[in-house]
Amino acid sequence: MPSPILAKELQAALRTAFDEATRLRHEYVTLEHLLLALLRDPRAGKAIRACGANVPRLRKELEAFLTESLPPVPEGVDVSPQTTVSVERVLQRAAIHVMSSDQQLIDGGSVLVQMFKEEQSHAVFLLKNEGLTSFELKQYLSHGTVPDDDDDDDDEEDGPGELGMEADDDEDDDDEEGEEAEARDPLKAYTVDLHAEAEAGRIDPLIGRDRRARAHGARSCARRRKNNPVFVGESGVGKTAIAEGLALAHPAGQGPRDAQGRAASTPLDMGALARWHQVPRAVRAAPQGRDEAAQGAAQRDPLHRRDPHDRRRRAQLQGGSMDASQPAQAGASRSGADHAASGRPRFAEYKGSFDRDRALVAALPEDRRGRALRVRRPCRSSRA
Amino acid sequence: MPPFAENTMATRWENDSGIVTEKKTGTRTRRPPLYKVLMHNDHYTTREFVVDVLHTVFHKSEAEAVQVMMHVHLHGVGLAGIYPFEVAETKIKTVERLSREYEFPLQLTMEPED
Repeated sequence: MPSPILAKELQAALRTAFDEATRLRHEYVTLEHLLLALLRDPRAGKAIRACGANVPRLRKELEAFLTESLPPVPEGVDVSPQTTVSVERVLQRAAIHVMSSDQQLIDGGSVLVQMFKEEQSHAVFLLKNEGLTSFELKQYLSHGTVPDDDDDDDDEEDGPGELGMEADDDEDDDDEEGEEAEARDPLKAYTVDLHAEAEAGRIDPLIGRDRRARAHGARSCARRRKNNPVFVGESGVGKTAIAEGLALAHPAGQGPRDAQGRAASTPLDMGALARWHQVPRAVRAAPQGRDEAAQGAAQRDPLHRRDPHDRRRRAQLQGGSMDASQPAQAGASRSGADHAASGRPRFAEYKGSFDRDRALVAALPEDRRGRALRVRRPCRSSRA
Repeated sequence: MPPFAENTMATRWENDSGIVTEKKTGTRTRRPPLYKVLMHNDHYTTREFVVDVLHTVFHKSEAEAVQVMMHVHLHGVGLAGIYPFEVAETKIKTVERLSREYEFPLQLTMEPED
């Protein structure tokens, strides 16, 4: 059996780790030095990111550990860093594993997986703190998918090869995905800021629904309480259109004011949130960030416009797995999402689900809670 | 509406909501402790060797090294240093190699710092 060789990138990472240790006058190259270097390794770095870690934060914490917990050798002593036994064990295990699985190359990914077995290591602690598990990591490295990552249902098909993919995706999903990968700000990931869309000229003017928009949107926004209109209604009656029309008519900061003089702001298309929400286990494993973000947004933005119904486009993106004709089956965990062709009265479903999502309701201050607004098909005379 | 009305509402809502938010990382991992490296007394290892080890491996000054050595000599154990796990482990390995070379039965152990 040919003995495995270190991938070029891994050699570079090891060199970086040694350099860093030398620079900091450390006598040992620890797993933390190695992990810090691996964050830049194409394979390991991408895997860490894909498994949901916040890389800048991780880097900062590693650097803090290196400077605070590892004392530099005293002046006057030569620094020639040695690897610790942990690092040696990790590299050895990676080599053995690569050999026994008939591969030729030891890369950053295999080293990262083996690192997880060093349970006492601070590097592993930090990785786990970022939500990484060795299982997720192995899954990603082997199949390019992240098993449990509920918020990533769009990413499932993405191989490890492309984080900057989606050339053929819908345009606004582009932004969404890109930002999700970068910042994973839940609000950005699951909602569409209609003001931004309006500014970018991606929203068409609203025709013939002015009265509806005023009655429904502007007026509710101006209420003192329950001033977050949530549009519900049959598919195709124009819920999205009205939300978009409001965004277009009232650019950021110039919206109708509520009784306390706060400007209604940022309407959000929460279609993606609804979609994410439809996966029952996703709800159970709700990323902590969601509520916080919702709360933050609620404080900044009196007007959350939830239009959970913008899904046709997204359904296509997902290969139709969320097709509107799919009967309602996810049950209690569905939010006010699309209950389209199930033929049930959608208002009742809104009451039964979106309102019941107490986590979401409780995340909003009392006076910012949603107000369900029914949108009906425009009557003949109002159709322009 | 008087201001307290809103407060009572809020309290009521919060109390009866019964929300359980399960965190994504089910069990929060605990920060690994630092480890104390302890040096044990024996009747064969020379004082000079112990001081030398403390100086070269644990980077003690000459005076500190003598102090620790005396502590080991008088009390049976002494603290050589406190380090993260892998550093502690590596230092112990290094000392083991050195003492084997000089045929001293010097023993070091580590235990988590509380």
